[in-house]
Amino acid sequence: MKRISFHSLAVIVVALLFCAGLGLFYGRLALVGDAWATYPTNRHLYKDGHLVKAGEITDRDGTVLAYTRKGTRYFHEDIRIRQATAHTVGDLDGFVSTGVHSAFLNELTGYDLINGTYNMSGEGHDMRLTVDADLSVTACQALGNRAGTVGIYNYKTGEILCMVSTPTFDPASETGLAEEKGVYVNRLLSGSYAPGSIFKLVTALSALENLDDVASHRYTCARGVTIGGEWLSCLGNHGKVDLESALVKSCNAAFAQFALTLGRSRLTKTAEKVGFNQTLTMDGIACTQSCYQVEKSNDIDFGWSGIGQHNDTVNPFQFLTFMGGIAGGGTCVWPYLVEDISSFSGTVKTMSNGKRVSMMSKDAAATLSDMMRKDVTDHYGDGNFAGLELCAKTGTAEIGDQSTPHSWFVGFCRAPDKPYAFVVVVENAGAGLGVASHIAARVLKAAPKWS
Amino acid sequence: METVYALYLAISRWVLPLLSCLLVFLWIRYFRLSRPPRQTVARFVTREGDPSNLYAQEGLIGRSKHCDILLPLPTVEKRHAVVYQKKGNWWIASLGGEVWVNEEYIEEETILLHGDMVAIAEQELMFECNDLEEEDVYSYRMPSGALSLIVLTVFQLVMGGQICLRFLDALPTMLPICFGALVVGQWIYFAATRLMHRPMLLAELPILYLVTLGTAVCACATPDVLLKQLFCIGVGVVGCLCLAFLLRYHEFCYGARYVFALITVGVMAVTVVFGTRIYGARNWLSIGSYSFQPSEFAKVALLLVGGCCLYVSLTKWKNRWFFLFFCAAVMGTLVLMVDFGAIAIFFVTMLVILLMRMTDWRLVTAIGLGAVAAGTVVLLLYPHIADRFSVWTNVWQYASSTGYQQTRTMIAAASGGLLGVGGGNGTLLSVAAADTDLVFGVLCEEWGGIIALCAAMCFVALGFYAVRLARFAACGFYATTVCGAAVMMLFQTALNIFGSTDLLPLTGVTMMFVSRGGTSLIAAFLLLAFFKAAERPACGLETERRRYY
Repeated sequence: MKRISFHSLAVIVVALLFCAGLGLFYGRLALVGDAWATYPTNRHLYKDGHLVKAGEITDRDGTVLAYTRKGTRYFHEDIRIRQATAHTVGDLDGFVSTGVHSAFLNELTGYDLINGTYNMSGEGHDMRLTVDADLSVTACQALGNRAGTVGIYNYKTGEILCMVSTPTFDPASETGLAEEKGVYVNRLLSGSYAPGSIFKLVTALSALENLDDVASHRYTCARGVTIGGEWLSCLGNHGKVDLESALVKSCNAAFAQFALTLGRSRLTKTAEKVGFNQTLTMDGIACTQSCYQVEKSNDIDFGWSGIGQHNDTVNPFQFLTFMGGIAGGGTCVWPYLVEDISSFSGTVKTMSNGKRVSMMSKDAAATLSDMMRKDVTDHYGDGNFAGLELCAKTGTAEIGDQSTPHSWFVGFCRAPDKPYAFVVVVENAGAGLGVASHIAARVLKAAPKWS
Repeated sequence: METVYALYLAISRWVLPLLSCLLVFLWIRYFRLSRPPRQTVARFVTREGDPSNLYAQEGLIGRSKHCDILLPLPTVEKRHAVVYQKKGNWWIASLGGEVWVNEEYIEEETILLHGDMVAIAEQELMFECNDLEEEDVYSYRMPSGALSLIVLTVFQLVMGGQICLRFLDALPTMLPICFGALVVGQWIYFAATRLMHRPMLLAELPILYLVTLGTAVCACATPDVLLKQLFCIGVGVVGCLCLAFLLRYHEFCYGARYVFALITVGVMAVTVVFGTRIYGARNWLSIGSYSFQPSEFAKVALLLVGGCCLYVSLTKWKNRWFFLFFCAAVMGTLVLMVDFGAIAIFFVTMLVILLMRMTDWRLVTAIGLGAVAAGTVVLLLYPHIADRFSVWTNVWQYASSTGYQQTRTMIAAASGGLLGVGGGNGTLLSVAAADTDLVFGVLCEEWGGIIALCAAMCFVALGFYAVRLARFAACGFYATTVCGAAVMMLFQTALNIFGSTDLLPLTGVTMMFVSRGGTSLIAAFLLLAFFKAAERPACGLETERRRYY
């Protein structure tokens, strides 16, 4: 009997294997259960493949952008608000992967490992966003038929007030959407453009932080400059310029020479400190990388890269944080979208808002800020931006072929009642000072006063 | 009323898992506290007066450390001889070593009487089987288990209440009645076992828990067959008691082993010829308006025949080969029925039964290799089985075709979380075979991951209990069968749970006691009989008394 008793341990072996299998199943449930639960055939959450069980999404003023009533999901009744917030709120089929409906599906449906899809209220969790629906409409109308994006955020608190991308769509209507190219792309988070002259801010920052006695560095511009035997053209004949006048005049020749003086590694280091070559996230949503890669470039290409051409690409959100960094005295209060998530029994989760990222020294930020202010007062004309105390930089991104260049306008307001950093990109709109700056002026003027 | 239900649900979905955890805790506590009886039934005494005790009706003599009578001498074989009780007498038989009884060399099995001298490799032992000093048979301490039954009753009432509130608008009258019958039935059983001084606990508690869950699933999915389900449970319990009674007389079973085997193979053969196909496998036999699955009973027969053939087979090769032949015949019919889940369960159980008795590793290896070869042939012959393997681990790619059931199970399981969405609120029940093959998903979705885990752990508990029973069993017959039954339950549950959640290929077997079913439910209860039979101690019926605390 001892022997048979010993052999009966085979049952224990089977039982332990069984337990191991259970461990594997429950491990998977804990790790990827959210993906299982939010699979579009789950009738707890979806009807005919459309999300139905989810909480309310409201803007900063409590305007309800999306909600569920009796098993049907509705959006705001005003089509202008629906279109302006389409990329922020997202659609019900998951086409806009960065939209709240996709990126915060678990939070919105109230899914968690303990409760599954059960909610006592039966409707998931409510989310309050930081965006302003009316301001988004203004931005959307300002962009009009052009493709582009407007991003505005409060650099003191981090709240994103406006995140509009065009061409847009109506999330409440189901048909005729997919045809237009890139309609589901949120250009602020997922866009990637050649920066053009706005990159000069990065070069200028690098010069301020790395060159001793930067004011003594003066370069000659004769409608361009010869680098390594090749010609780098400039839009004007600027003569002898220092850093400040080079930025105000947006002198290509001077900035190319600043770049060469700084060298590849120092410029790359500055670029990476302000967010290039990294995947940045906004409330956990990954944005497209901004790229600055010059290790293998020859001198002329490196020169071009210092003024935002060559192979530089910029994600608008990354530049928004850079503007926030300058405006915030060298430290960026990171932008966020979700104010809070609450169930009927109270706040479920507040996002980790108020993250701070140090980008540059206080002095460099102040100098850069003053230069950008001078840009506006001396060059762009402060009259167009009355009451904003605007600091800004334009960019005109040549895009190789014969297309009209993309137009950038980036910067921030120093007016205490409008502590907003912004980025405006308009595709194929020509010079930055023009379409993009007009859009920025219109939207910033409409932006609510902050106290 | 809706508010009342919402409130009740919000509370009870926490209460039910907590009660389940409490039951698990109580079971573990009872398992640790209970002490099975252990009394010397015979002994060998050396010349020097050192006794070697036998606590069961059989024992091995040899130098292997797993022998009951250990003779650590180089001239003794590893397994030298075997002693066992048969027809009221003790017998001794050689397993290859030389044995003398009263200075007579024995070639065949020989009766041992009290006071006989057994000589094994110059070692003389005196056999004693009478007038052994009484050990305290009352030391079989068993917790009464009343507390756990009270907890279980509360669990059932809370669960039944939740379902009744859920369907209050159109409440089938059978629903509360059936839940009530379950509660009353278990207390009657409890009272009866107490009156007869039989233990009712370590095997019954997990089963009662599983049956409760099965009733709840049935009540939510198909309330119209609830009565039939309850009837089958009743038949199962009666069948279990009858079989347990039969199993008491293991020598009678041994004598009837050919009859059992013949009936089983015969019924299986009839099924192959006249069987009807329901959901894939052609394993249903219809008599009038009743249809049942003989393969479920074949599983029980496997244990019975296996236990009989192997229980004194240490001396008889004939029985061993007969068992293998029987297994081959039954599995052959299962192949013809295209019931591959049953084949896998059959095969694994057979291996474990063999392993309990076997020492010949060459034979076990040969069987293993044979299985691999047979499996390959099966995959070549039946492409739809190979399809199941192709979708296995890739179910999300085939979420709307061959992976439909598995993905829906996983979606449902995740939707339920750890606490569940409440009985009757699930979505999985609309999928085909949800309350049988995918019942684990229904448990996860409606009652939550914790309760589903507790249900799975019930089978693990039965496995551990079987191992303990094997250690204290009266003879090898009970040890072999109870371990076989436990492995059968564990493996079938593994196929059910892991098949529906894509950790194993989906084979379509039921989760015992929980899945809706007729034959399968009754057969599951018959397996319980092997536990009840193994609980009887070796020291005999007349001294069998228990003390509760």
